[in-house]
Amino acid sequence: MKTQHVLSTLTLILFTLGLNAQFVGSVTEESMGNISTERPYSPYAGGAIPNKVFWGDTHLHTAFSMDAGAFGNRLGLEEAYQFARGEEVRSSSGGRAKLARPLDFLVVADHSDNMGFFPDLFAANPQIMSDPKGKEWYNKIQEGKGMEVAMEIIDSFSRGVFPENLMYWPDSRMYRSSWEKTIDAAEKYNDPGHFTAFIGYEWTSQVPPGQNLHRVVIYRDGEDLARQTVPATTYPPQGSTDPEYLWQLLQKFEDKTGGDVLAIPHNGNLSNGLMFPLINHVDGKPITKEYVETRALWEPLYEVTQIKGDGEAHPALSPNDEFADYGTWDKGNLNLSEPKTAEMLPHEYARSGLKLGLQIEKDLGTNPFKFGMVGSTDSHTSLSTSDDDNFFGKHSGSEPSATRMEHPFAKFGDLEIMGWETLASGYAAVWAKENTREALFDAMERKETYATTGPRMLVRFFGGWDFVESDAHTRQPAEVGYRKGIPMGSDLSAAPAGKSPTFLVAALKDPIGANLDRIQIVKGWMDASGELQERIYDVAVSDGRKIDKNGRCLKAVGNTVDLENATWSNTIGATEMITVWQDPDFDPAESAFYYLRVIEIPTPRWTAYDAKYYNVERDPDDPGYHQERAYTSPIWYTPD
Amino acid sequence: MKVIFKEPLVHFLLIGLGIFLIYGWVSDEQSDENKIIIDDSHLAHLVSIWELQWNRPPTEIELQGILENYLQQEVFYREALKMNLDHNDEVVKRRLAQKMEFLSDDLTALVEPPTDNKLREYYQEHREKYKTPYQYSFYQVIFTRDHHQDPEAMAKGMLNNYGTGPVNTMLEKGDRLSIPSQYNDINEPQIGRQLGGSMAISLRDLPLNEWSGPVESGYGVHLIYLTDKQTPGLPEFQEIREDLARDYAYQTEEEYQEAIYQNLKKNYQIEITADLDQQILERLQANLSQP
Repeated sequence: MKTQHVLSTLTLILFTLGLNAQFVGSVTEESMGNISTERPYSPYAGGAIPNKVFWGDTHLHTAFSMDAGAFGNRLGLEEAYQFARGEEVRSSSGGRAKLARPLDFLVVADHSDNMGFFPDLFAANPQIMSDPKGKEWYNKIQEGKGMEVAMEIIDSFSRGVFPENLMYWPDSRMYRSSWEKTIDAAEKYNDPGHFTAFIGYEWTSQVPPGQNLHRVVIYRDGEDLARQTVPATTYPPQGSTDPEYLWQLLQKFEDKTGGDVLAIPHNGNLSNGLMFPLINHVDGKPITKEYVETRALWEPLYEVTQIKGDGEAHPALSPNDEFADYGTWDKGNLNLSEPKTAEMLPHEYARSGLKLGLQIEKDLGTNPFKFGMVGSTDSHTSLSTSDDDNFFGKHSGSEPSATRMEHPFAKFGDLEIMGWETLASGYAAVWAKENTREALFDAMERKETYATTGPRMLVRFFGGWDFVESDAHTRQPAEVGYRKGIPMGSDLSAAPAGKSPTFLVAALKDPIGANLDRIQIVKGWMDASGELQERIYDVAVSDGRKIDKNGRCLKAVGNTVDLENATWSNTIGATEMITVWQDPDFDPAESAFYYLRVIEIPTPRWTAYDAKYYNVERDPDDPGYHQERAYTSPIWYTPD
Repeated sequence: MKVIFKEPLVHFLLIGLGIFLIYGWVSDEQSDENKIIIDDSHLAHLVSIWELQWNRPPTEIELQGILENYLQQEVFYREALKMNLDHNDEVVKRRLAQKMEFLSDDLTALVEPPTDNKLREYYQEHREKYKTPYQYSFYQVIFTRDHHQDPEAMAKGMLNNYGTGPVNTMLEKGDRLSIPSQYNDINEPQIGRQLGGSMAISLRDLPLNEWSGPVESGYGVHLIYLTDKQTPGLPEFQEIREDLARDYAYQTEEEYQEAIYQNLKKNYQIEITADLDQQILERLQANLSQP
């Protein structure tokens, strides 16, 4: 009886395999892999200047990340790349998922500690099963208690009590094999000219009791170099949570291979004051000349917006900025084990970090926080979604469902962050000449990038001494921008006598998104008495509104959002804004930075789309709409 | 059925897997129910797990301990089977189902690497996906809501007045927007991504070498002067062989997994006797019973 059964099952399986030729695939229309080479119109393209913006996610986790796997992510590296390239995949929770528009590049940045541990745990790897804790976790997952295991894994890891026998130490065979698989997948999907798959990982430094100092590491090079070392990890004794340790390892990698890597920190908002420090948490002493020099060398970018909150500005630090309170997560550190206090805030947000950088530069000669901006998802679902109408959540437990808004995202004692507070954010925009690892990486190193909370607006920002109003009357701002000035991420110096810097700014709405409310220039500087200052100027506004003598337009753009139906209309706002602005308050003796913030008209949040789709109520504290935005890398002015 | 058995691949799979799995199963069956045999492969497996943890071979006493542990598990396991304790245990169910999944994964992996013939076949079936998209060269002018109450009326008026004049005359009539006034060899998906709206699709029906429209993008209303239109074609096999191999491997695994499940499911009659709303019950019953 049993034999017969096995045979019939086998036959069925084989029958199925044999019938392969007759299957008709469910693959959809648009594949970006087969685009013929575009001969660009622009006379200056292919030549001297970066004339294309490429969209990507520098921070995506797959099932290879131990927490992602524990939260139920069953999608591996291949699915992550397929999805990013615009293909349809089935999410871990079972629903079909597809991006409205493919991405141009992707960094799969799985946690380096215990990389690949989870797929092995899930597959009952004998070594893991021989450990009592491993067995317990495995059984719990089998019982459907993956969430509990996830919390335990993350918690034991951040408290430094992860079972040593289960650790995938960087010098072990299993670890090496996980890293090889990561590299293999990137090589397989990297398609120069069409789609860039960077090799990368996340160095997930969590300083007890849970302060977030995470960095994503990106390789410019391919497998030949990446295979020569394994990623830096954080768990002692083979790793460390000290950023200076990471930088040492990056230096070692470059020395050994001649390659090129960079690191992007993120979520200062969950670092409890450690992200942009004056005092080094490792020894309690002021940061050193060496610290600031190496940080400036390795960390040209900061991930300013992502699912776990927006980190551009905080309302308490910028009380006159009505747009500062966007996606604010300020209850505590990453695991909420330590509440937030006011004195931590200046060391957590990009704007105040940029300001502190000016101060440190004066004291130590180097600005360690001279970073450009990118946004990314930090999604743990293998699905890089940051459109609000197509948001697959932070991890597989928060993929679309009627109840995900009201699930706590994190909870510790009285502190709680609810699911609805997560942001469908963000993407990285990179100005480059072509879609290759080299071109995109080099653009990241020179900070010619900007962050958005999801929409794909085109943003140009040039600084110089001689821009005049007529420079804005062109179809090609980049042409005059590069000719007469320098792009976002660069430096101005040597101010000509009596001149104040001029800026050519332009923003074009996302072609399938919302109109624009305004373009603002955020200026930060250190005044003559050494005090750090900031100020916002509205430089272009829609619908004929006026900018007052203080450089502000206090009149709001309006709101067309229909929350009930999760829609809005582009009957307010502008398609494009372009202007030349000159700093009216410039003092050539004061160091300063300027960056653009482009604000869209209000649109529904992902929670409004959820409420409509599942016919459920939103949380009363959730407005259900927001104004999405872009942040460019700054242009710095340094006195001689 | 005949056709399938002519496939050499199927022969290979049938013979290889059939023999391997059935032999393994039958040889277990033949062993005495109350006899526990520890053979070479068992021993090597147990020792290797031990070595992974301690980085050295076990001593004799340690070996005895390892075997004692093993025997205890084996004895309890067999007794549990006799008492049918494996039935309706959620953990056992999940694990066995998972093993079945891994088994079908392995089977899928056996059909790799894909041969040229397979890939050509796959290409045939998925022609649409690999077709080069529509490609255009054109001039355009745009009228946006930033500057016009009714950009469509504006565009129509311009078309009437200047539609037959020199191309350059019309180019001066549009709004100044920082998108190019001329595109060369841009394809349909790129137009969709760069300009939005229904613009990409709309171009398919426009005539060559004259001003036409209006068509709508995400930015506004356009008049278009097409100078070139390439209709979709199929690239040479060799040009896209790598893409095919990658997509084939990815997709076959997914499809096999699903197909194996659906085929196995056919052997079962699925009946929901739970107390459910009648309409929901009927829908569930109908949906779950078919692939």
